Amino acid sequence: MSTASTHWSDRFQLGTEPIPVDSVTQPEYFEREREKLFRRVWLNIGREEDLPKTGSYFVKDIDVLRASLLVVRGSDGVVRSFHNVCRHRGNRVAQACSGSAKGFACDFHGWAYDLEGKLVHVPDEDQFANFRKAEHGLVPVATEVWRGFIFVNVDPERKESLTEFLGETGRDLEDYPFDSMQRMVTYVLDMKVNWKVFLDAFSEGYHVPFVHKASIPKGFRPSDLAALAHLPSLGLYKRHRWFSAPGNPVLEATPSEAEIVKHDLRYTIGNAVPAERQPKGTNRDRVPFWSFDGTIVFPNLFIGAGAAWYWTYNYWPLAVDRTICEARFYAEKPRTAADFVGREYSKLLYRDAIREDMARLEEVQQMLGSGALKAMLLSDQEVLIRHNYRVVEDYVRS
Amino acid sequence: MSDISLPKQFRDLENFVSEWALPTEAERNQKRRSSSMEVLVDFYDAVLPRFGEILSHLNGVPAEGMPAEERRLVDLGMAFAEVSNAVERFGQPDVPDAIEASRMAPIEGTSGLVPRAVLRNVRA
Repeated sequence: MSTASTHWSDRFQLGTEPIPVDSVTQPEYFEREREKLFRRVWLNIGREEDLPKTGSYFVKDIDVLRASLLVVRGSDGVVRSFHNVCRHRGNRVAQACSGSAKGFACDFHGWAYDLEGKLVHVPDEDQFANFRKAEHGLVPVATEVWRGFIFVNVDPERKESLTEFLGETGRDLEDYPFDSMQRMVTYVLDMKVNWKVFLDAFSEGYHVPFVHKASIPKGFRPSDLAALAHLPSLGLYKRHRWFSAPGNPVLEATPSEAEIVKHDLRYTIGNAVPAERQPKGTNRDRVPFWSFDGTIVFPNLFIGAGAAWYWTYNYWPLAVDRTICEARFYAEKPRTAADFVGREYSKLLYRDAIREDMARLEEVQQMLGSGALKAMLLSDQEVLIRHNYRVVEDYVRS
Repeated sequence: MSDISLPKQFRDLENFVSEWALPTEAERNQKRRSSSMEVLVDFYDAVLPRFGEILSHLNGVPAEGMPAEERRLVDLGMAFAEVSNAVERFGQPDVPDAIEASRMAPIEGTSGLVPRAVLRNVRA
């Protein structure tokens, strides 16, 4: 047996055992995740800028919770969430996907609620016995905001605030310029993949030289000569985790990328960003060849934070072998007309690269579902994946 | 369309405007994927020597309220970003060994909200 590196797994005491496949293929396991994990935790559901003013709202149907949530900015500016269910006989209250409203009227019998969820009007109210409107507001759902990300928790017996749930990760990405960024695009993928297999794909850099050999052949490694890149720094918390990704300091770009580098190097993907161009809140260990930080807010949010852009993935499981992924790309608001072209360049390279990532996932799920393997093998470079299965298992067994 | 198109120092690229200076990612990507390599390389070869000059020119124009000529040049530059991936990285119009583009249709702009109709369209 070779002398293997177990640096990270030793440091975080996660062992080196194979990971049983059952947790990504067995419907029973998924049902336990639904009840013991997804119904208990804080989930990222949107960003504050989705609700720009009083009365702005959106509706989010969350299959894994079997719920529809109404998220709205109230007259006091506070973001609140409610089950999108009329207190009368259970009809959906808000029918539209999003919009701006003064209140919400159920289209079944006209019950009306204000922006804070209070029941304000019931037609023919005196036909209801022992009825007090004040007791029948929309069912509230705990809602808190971190770094502009809106989180909800549907557990009526929850024991933790969002701050407690986030723990150490709550201090991460402090001062990162989320406010000067602007969403450019959302891609929605409905994939025949377990949500953990999805997340695994973005929790290691081992795949990069293979999966991205066409799109980014020299990126995300500390030199042209390094065939394989190791994550220079990472951290595993009680539930959440992060890593810094390496970047190539040799800007041996394609001809078009060479012009982008001259305009603003930060628009490239996979290249090392010089220390003075790295935004606040990133590269905490000051690794020498840094390209972006990945932050995984367990269980359903991935943030990839670069120098002039960031992207997010939200994972919404539908079944043990099916997941909706929302991939969003954000970039600095353009100052000049050239920035429109520069940030488009980043976005399109990102998009084409994740199309390569996605291609593997459904095949992996199908093969794992064949039952040929009982377990998956993980290297020390895949310790974030190991951590995810540990955290999920802890919830499922709780 | 008016007679005025690109800023005057870029009028040599005028022939590409009607086909390539498209206003959305979806249209530009569709144009890229439905074009032959010959067509892509023709566009790439024409724009690449001017790309630095295009960025320099646009860098002097504020993002807010840019004139229609510069807006077209931006659209052309964004189409070039599409085509450069095909020519420089993939050697073919679309991404090889990748999930179908139709399964990743862009919802463009600042709203990240996903209409139910979109969800129906992308269902696996």
